[in-house]
Amino acid sequence: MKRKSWMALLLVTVLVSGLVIAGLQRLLVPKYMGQVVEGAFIQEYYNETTDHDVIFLGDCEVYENISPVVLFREFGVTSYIRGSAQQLISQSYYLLEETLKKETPRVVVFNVSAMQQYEQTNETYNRMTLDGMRWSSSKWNAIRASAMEDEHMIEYLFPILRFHSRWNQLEADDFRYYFHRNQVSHNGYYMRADIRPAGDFPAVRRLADYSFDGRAWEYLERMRGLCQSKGITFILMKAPSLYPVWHEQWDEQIVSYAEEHGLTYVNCIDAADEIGIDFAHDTYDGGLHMNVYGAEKMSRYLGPVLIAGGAEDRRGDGELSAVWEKKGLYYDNMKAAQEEEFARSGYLKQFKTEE
Amino acid sequence: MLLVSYQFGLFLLLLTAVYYLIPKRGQWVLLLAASYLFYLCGGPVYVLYPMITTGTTWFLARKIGQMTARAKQYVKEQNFDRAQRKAYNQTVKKRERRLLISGLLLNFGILAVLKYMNFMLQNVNGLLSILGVPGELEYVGWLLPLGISYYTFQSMGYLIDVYNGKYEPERNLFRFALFVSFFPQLIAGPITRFDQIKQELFAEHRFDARQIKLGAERMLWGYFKKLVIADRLGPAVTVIISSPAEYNGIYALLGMIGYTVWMYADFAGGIDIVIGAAQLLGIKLPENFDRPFLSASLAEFWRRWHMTLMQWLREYIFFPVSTSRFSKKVSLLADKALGKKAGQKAPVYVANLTVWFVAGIWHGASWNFIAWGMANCVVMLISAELAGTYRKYRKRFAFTGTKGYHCFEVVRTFFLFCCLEMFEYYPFFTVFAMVGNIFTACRPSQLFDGRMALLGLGSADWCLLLLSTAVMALGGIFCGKTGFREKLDQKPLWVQYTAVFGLFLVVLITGVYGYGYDASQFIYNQF
Repeated sequence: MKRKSWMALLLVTVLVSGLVIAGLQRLLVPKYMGQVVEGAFIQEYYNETTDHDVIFLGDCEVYENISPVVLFREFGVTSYIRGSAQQLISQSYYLLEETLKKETPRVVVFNVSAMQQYEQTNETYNRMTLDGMRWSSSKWNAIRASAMEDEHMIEYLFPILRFHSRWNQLEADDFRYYFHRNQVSHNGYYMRADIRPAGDFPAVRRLADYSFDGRAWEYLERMRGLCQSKGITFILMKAPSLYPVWHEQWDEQIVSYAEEHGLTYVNCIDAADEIGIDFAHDTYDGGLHMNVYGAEKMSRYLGPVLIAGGAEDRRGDGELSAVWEKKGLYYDNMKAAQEEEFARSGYLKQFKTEE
Repeated sequence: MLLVSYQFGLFLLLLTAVYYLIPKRGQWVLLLAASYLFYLCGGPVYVLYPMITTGTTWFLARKIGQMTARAKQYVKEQNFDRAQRKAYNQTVKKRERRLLISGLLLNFGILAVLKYMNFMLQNVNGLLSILGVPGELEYVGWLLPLGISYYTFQSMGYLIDVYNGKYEPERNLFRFALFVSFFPQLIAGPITRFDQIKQELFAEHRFDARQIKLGAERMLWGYFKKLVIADRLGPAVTVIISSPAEYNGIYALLGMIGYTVWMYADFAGGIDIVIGAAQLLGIKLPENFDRPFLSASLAEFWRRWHMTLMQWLREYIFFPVSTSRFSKKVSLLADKALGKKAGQKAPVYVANLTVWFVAGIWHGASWNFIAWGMANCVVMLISAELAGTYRKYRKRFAFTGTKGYHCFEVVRTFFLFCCLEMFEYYPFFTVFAMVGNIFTACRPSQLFDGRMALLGLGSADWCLLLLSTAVMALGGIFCGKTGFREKLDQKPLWVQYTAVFGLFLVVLITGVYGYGYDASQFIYNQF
């Protein structure tokens, strides 16, 4: 066989092999379309067609507690939540860095609960955040900063190496969502219209040392620096979760940092009454996170803070309004469907196993 | 660096690329550097031990070689008569023996101290406790260098060979260092002889696409055995064999067969990876397995399983022990006490006992392994004693020459081996209890009493295990000595591609590796 033919044969072989492996990889990676939808949030950002005035960063305390649709409807503030389950501060930083390559918001809000835990404790959470990111230097650095001891970069480059063991756990969803994924969040917001009143929590354990990890401070500082360099208002917030407990000593450190750098810090635990949160009604998991009613109250409370930080009322922009009208419709439909189902069954079927 | 790690894949890929790009005379130097880098990955301390073994063995072998050469020259110059020559040679040999013994003591001493110290302390403590002496000696936490048994045995084989004048000692320390530390075989063997491997290690190797392909295929086959079979089966088997009271009856049988399959897939898989990796670099390592489960007797089995270790034991322990002064004394004693026949057999018995004791202790520092070695020895000696009876029996019954009878012998040998393996994981008397239990309390219905679910494998895993073990076994049965790769190599390209890529996908998807998988060492790595 001539050299050219060999080369062509080799090329075809590599191509076919690559396609087969890519096809299998697509089948084997989790789709996050069933009960656990949080893993799909980070990726959904790339579907956005318009810019945002506000970017929220953080863990479940942002993506479950703030409704961007309400923020637009009531204040005209366009926003997106770049949050994922147990999102580390380093990941929030690199998500911000990546976001700023695409757009320049007026305000960035960071939920400070991530300050208490610098290192990841569960690889699943890392995958939920990092797999959703598009490949860039930010993703590379985010992986390097947050990967656990047994995690390897190559498993992020080729997720089949991580998820191959799902071959015997494949479900109908893996085939159903092979070619497309549904939109599951509302600009990064995770809607829950079920209600589970706050109950008892384990007794508060005193800590030997309340200081945050130096590396967490470092990333907070880097986030602030990044915002400062782009003229973005950097706001710190603490969502109104009753558990895990937010220690006073932690809060003092954040207050002091905010004062030192002239930042706004909104502690929603202290402001829970002002916000109007009713922990018997506004939470879906017994006080850990807000349901849609609590998130809407939170958004109404935060709206003026964001406007004060530089966000504008964009309701006058026809093109933007049309986009947000569509988002609102999707939001309303989901909310109505969940409300109806919860009223009928007392639970949401999609999340039944949580009960 | 584990053979089943991404780092090893990358390391081998880069090394192979550089290996064929650099001038050919520098290839062995690169291999030496790579081998030491490989060793360094375990920690700097680990390099020290193979360096000591390398340095001392090379130096002593050189000294022995020089003494032999000088003696030859001297004898030539002096025009000694036969008696004078003999006397002089004996004097020189005595001096050489001193060097040999010092080398053996030092290197086997290191091995004994590092590997067997805690075992010895455990026994001393046991003894003290029996004698009622209060307190106990503290155990040591020394790290065991990677492949210490392999490189020690290999180096000492070299020293003995030089002493016996089988070949000249290597002049270049670095070339000898490569022989001791060649990285693929460092982990799980095979144990090679210097004269057997030096041509391969130091020759200039041209890039050969076919060799690369065959090497990669061999590695893939090894990964199939290791990742798809051994690492899937291992945890389930461990549960069974570590709780004999709970897992008895059919589970004891399952554990017995499972342990053998696990060990074979793990060890033979590791050897496939090692031989394949060396083949990528153009180096042909000796085989360590020759389809052992097709053996019709235990003696044949041990000629086909871990062949290089058994050859080593035969050459450096069996023959020297059977011709030693001690054996001769035992022979005389046996002759006097039990008759001429017993006197003739005594050296063989002594040598066999020594070989199997060493084989046992080599496999692990515990009484389990010693019992395993002794059990094998007893079965082998009984078989040897009954050899005459077998011959008569074979002559008398024609059916013993049929294929069916051969199959029976193969199956019998497999189960005999499985039974003997039980000494490795059950306490001594439990072995007999469990064998009895298999015969008296084995019911298939036990498989559905819920205990199966606690083994950590789902039905899909069991199906996959059965299927892949069948593929592994059939591969051995039907492909003959030439092996599957050579047969496949003669098929059209698309057939080759489909088979290899298919196997790759099986390993990629169903292999037990990646996050959450404890990258366990190969069972034979610990030796």
